[in-house]
Amino acid sequence: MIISLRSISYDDLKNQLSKDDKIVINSCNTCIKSCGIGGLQNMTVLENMLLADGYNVLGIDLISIGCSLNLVEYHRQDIKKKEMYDEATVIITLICEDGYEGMKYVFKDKKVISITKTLGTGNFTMDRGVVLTHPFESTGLEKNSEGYELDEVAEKLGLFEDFFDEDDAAFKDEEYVDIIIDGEEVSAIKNQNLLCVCEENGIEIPHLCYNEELSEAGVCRLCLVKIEGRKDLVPACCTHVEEGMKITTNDEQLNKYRRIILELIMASQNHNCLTCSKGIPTPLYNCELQRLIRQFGIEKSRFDENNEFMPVDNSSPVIVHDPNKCILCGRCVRACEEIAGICNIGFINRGSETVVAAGLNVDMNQSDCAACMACVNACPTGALTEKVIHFTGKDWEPQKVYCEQM
Amino acid sequence: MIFTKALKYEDIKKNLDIENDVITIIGCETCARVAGSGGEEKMKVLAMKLRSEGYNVKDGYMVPTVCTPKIFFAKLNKDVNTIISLACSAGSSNLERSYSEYKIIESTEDIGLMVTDTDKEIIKVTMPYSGHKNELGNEYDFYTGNKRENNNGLPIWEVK
Repeated sequence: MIISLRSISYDDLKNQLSKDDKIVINSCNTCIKSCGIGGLQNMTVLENMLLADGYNVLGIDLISIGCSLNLVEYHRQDIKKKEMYDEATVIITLICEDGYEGMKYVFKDKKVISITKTLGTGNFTMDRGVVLTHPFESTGLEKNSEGYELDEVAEKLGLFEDFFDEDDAAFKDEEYVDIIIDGEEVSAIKNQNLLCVCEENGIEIPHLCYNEELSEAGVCRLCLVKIEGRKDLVPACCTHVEEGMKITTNDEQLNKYRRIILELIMASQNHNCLTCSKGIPTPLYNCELQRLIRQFGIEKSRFDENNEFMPVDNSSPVIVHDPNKCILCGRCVRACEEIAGICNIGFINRGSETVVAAGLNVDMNQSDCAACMACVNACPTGALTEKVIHFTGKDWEPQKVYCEQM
Repeated sequence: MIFTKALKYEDIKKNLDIENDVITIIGCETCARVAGSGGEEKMKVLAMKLRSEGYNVKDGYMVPTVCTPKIFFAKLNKDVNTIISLACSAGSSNLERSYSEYKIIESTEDIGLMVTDTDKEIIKVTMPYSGHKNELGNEYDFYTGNKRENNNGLPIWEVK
């Protein structure tokens, strides 16, 4: 992976801006996110800081791989983002210097500001986070297989080891509302997503179709909650808080419905975690469906299991698409549209025949897939997983690791 | 992304001990595959060539990224004592750290950082390492690493 650090202070950034600028912040969602200076969370922090200081921020945009120029161009031309990008005069991009070259090309009619210095290549480690192993000559550092930790590099090179500090901006005057969740008084930003408010306050609501990097969909119905005065249950992931809301997130009726939904999902396809790389929780992966099934103590679905087996698509060099493990939450579809910018995967057919497919229902390697992994990272089950192949035997036969024969 | 070129076969082979090395090959399916220095086909060609010359190549793994802890998806055979890395230097250093008791042999050389176009299937070198400064702006084809005749497939510096 490419290793970068923040190279400018918040004041340096503001010195490059004027209050008349119309700003869009975008970020690559790959290496720079692992380096702690990119991704949705940091874009949101910067957006809030600039808004608090009176700048005109039109929006933010997450891009799966920012060094793929065509993906950046797709984002610019996306029907939902085009107006924002067309109106923008300044792009602040959270991306490595390599990607910055492409970003300047795609947005050549605008001022493009980078906040990073790219130092070379390195690894993500489980114990020390990101380390720099192969620095560029310009850093003055020697190659080091053990790797330099980023705080050490930042100190040596006079760079910043983390993202901008929110305290460097003016206090953002937000409008807060008082609500009651499960009998407890809670203060939340007006119009904040209810599911996020609950999580911020330590209240876990089961959910599968919601992902903070994606738009809200409300399709899995697991996060249904009760709101006093509302006739029916509402999905917390699509509800924005208002003053005086009284919410019940956890009672016998809600848990009964959630249990039924989980059992129906289990029965809908073959969810066998013994043959799935996501079935075994690791720091890298975990199956959100299996976690909920364990949380609810479900050992068996009371409904008849659908035994119809659909072919697994092994055609991509990096992605395995197993529709038998798909719960139709749509996270991959939204990720491909919103983060990859391609719209390569979508739903086909109707009703019980509905499945997720690539292109015009072709194999993944015959479609427009850019192998950016946005869909894999978004998938809550083992339907879209990274492919690991073991080659062995006299003829070097391929066999998928954790799964059936290819 | 990171642009690499494959080392010459002889340069890989000279680091191997035909008598004692029991080899697995670990390959990266991301940058190295796109750059044409890695990927499944390149791995098979290397494995078969080494085997044909009497080297004990036990097996191989293709993992999505070798520069992350995902390399632990490769469950190494107990007889293996040598790993050929079909990845960039960042991947190789990850192998060196994670499999410290094994001999690690690199099979690629870092050239620099690159931007890509996945539709046109073009690579452009934007930030070469020292020693490869002449590669700045050079373009290559996806998956083969073949040098393109002209470097105007991705004219990113025309605006300068």
